[in-house]
Amino acid sequence: MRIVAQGLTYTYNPKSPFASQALKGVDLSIEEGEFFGIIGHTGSGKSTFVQHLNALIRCTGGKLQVGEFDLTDKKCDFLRLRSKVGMVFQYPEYQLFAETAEKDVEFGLKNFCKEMDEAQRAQAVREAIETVGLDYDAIRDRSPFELSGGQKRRVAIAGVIVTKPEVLILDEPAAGLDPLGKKELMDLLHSIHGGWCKTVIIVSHDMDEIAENCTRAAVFSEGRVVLCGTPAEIFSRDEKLFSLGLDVPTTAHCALLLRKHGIRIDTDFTCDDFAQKVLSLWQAERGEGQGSAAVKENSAAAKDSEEDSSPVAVKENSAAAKDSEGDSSPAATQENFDAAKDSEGDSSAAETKSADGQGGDGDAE
Amino acid sequence: MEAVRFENAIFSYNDDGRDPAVNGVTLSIGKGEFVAILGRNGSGKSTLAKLINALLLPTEGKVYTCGMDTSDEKLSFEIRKRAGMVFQNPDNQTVASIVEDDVAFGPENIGLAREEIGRRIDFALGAVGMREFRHATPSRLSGGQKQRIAIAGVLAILPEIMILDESTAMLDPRGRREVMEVIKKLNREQKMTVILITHFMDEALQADRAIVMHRGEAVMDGAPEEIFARSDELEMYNLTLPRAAYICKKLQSAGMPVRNSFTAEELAEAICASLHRG
Amino acid sequence: MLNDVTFGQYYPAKSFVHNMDPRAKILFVIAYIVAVFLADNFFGLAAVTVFLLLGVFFSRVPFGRVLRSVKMILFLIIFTAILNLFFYSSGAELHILWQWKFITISWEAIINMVFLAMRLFLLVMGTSVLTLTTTPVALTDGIESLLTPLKWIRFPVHELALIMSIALRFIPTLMDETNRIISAQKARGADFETGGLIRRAKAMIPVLVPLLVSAFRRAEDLGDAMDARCYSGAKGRTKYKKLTFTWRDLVGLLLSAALITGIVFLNLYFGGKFAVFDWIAGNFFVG
Repeated sequence: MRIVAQGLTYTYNPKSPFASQALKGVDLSIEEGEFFGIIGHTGSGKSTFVQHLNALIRCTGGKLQVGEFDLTDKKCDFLRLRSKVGMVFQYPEYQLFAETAEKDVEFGLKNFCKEMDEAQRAQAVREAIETVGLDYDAIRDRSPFELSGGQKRRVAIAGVIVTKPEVLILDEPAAGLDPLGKKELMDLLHSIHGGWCKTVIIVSHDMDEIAENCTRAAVFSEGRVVLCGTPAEIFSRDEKLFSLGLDVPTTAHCALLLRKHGIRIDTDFTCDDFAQKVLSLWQAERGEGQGSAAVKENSAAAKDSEEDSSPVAVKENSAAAKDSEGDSSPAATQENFDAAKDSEGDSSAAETKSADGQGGDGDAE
Repeated sequence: MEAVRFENAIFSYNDDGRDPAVNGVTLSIGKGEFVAILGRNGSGKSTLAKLINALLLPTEGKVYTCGMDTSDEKLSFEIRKRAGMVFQNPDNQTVASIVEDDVAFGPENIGLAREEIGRRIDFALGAVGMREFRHATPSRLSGGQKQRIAIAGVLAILPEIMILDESTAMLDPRGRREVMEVIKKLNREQKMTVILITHFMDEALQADRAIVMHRGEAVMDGAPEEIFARSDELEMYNLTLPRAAYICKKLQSAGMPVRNSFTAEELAEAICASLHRG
Repeated sequence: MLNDVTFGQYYPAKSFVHNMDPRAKILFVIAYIVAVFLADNFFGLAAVTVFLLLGVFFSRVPFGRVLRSVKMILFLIIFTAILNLFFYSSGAELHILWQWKFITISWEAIINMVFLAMRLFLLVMGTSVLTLTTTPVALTDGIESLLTPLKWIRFPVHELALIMSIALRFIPTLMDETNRIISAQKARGADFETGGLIRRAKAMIPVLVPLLVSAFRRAEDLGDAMDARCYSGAKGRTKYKKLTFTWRDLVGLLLSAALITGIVFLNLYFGGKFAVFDWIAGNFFVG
């Protein structure tokens, strides 16, 4: 399901002294099949935006289309929409309520798929619980409240994916988990992404997480989308991110510092890719026959014009690196990498133009 | 001088003593030290923290805080005066609806005079950079601000030890940074002993010393750089390296001569040095 | 949507009334309520109204804002008024205006209705001036202080006050939490809006259970946090906030004494609420 928002606006407590405009015209489209990241501070409007996507917040201004659903239409079948667009809230374990894990997971199924018989439901629940990496038989009759923290979160996620939503939205899914728990969770999301779950949208503060998992991301600030593109495009705009008070991934931070020394690394900002690119640079340098002149030349060139493409040697090597990398980096590396280069020449490409949004608004009327 | 000493401390949440959460920990933390305690969820690090200020008492062994035996219940009030604790959830540790009333809670409990409480509020809010929020409502503040108020609430008792039990876990990066700045300053300027329980590796790097907990035992203990250099061991305890250290290790294993580095800054310098050396 | 806004109705401003000690305000409002009930005729109510208007004026809260608090119970006022209009009866003979089967409307009923409606109106207006000018925290402090003498009969005043202030502190937090849980369950297809009473009540279980669990978890955390901050009951505890009585409060107390005395005097001088009726009748119907 393709998601298209045009000039989306939203105000909390309208017409009262406490009115606050959370969305000031959001233009964003998320294609089917993406692993999309949403970045922004608390209060940037990102939560308000994602809650629009399954009509937990009703659309009051602008246009929003999620697959075949027109969310501005009052006659829209919201229940069916919610079965297609699953939403995992922050700390989802706080929504558990039933006597057993099985019954809790079944809750959504009973609400959405009323025509299912008991056997079908039991089968779906088993699948969901096994998908999140838990042992169905061991856990089904236990109270969700006596499980460990990590298990609780998995059960809660199972309770959302049990209806196999085509779009799965997760608000800070890894919050409060330890590093290994975070990694396991991301692996889980990748394992369902591409199957029945066509699109995954995560809201995250962790830039490393975005860089390593997402195909594309959008940066929210003060109710608008200020940057949108591949992680490579977004994180190459480090100055812009800093000015918004946001972080960059470790790799981007490092790349920025290296750039100041005249060393350019073109990377998609995953750790593995970054290491690979540094290595190729190093090997290239060694290969060019102990001559330190080549390096100096390179760095001088980089200093002169940052917009220019990086030294030929690097380009070739990184292309080679891509081949050798295999499965360790996302499939989209190639595109990301090229896109990054394009965007550097014309950096405004990644920035969305609010003028378009107003145009969209006009159409709606 | 010694701030905290564990002598073969054991603690179990079960009455019959099975599955101890802390299982025979012996270690000592000096005054003025900044110690990070790392470990997976359920490794016993929070239990360890609660043993320090007598919220939990060891089932076996001893814990001494500022020289006082925590199992002596008559001393628990004095112990808590010296070892303050900030918790994980910023929403669950404020008692009052106004910042200054909340910060006053501790000083009121230890029976200080009104004027002194006023001075302590002033000092504590100043130390965490929240003086202008004195009359604000905590529920309207950001997570980082709430945690700074919680720290101020502990500071107002003038403790010698500050324990932070995953106090940054629920914060966004900005909030985490704010809190880390405050505790580093306290350690540096007030010579306060800081015990920081965290699973953010980059936070552990800012400490003088890191202790790794695994299944109730303190399995690694040393300078953070030293600990992160033993990456195979860390992996055994299900911990991951800080990303910069991971990249560095990858470069080293491919034969590139870069020196050990743990932060983005260090890594950038190391790569630079290595490349320019050619 | 539930939010902070619906909770409490404090209207921030700097005014004479805002600056008064909460204890004085509470005592004044108690006196005011007594006066409203004591007043036996329209002259008494008129006197109370003058006090109310003065209070509103010196509180600098817009009159419309105070009126809004009446809106919530407007239905109640109208309902009691109508009941009184049609079904008023008393031992004395009535001046009947209109009659249909068992429904009668009499002069007495009309007067009684107006009187009752005014009483309710004044009651709500007066108490809302208190809540509009006093924060819930200050109110709690005031109540605690006023209850202090009860310590002599071992009434747990400190504990009660602490419970009240913690409850106040957690209302916004739990409201946020409720909203979040409702949204999370809606996302799982929960339906809170359709069906009969029983179905709707049942639909609330997935909200109430997590809310309860969360409240207990928070309570446990809070207990630890209070312990860690050396809480050990009222013994040996001091208090930072001290309420101070000023000339404003003295004015308030003197005024409330004056109000009550005035009402008693008016009652004695003019008699019951039908004194007006007698006065009207004496002037227009007789002679």
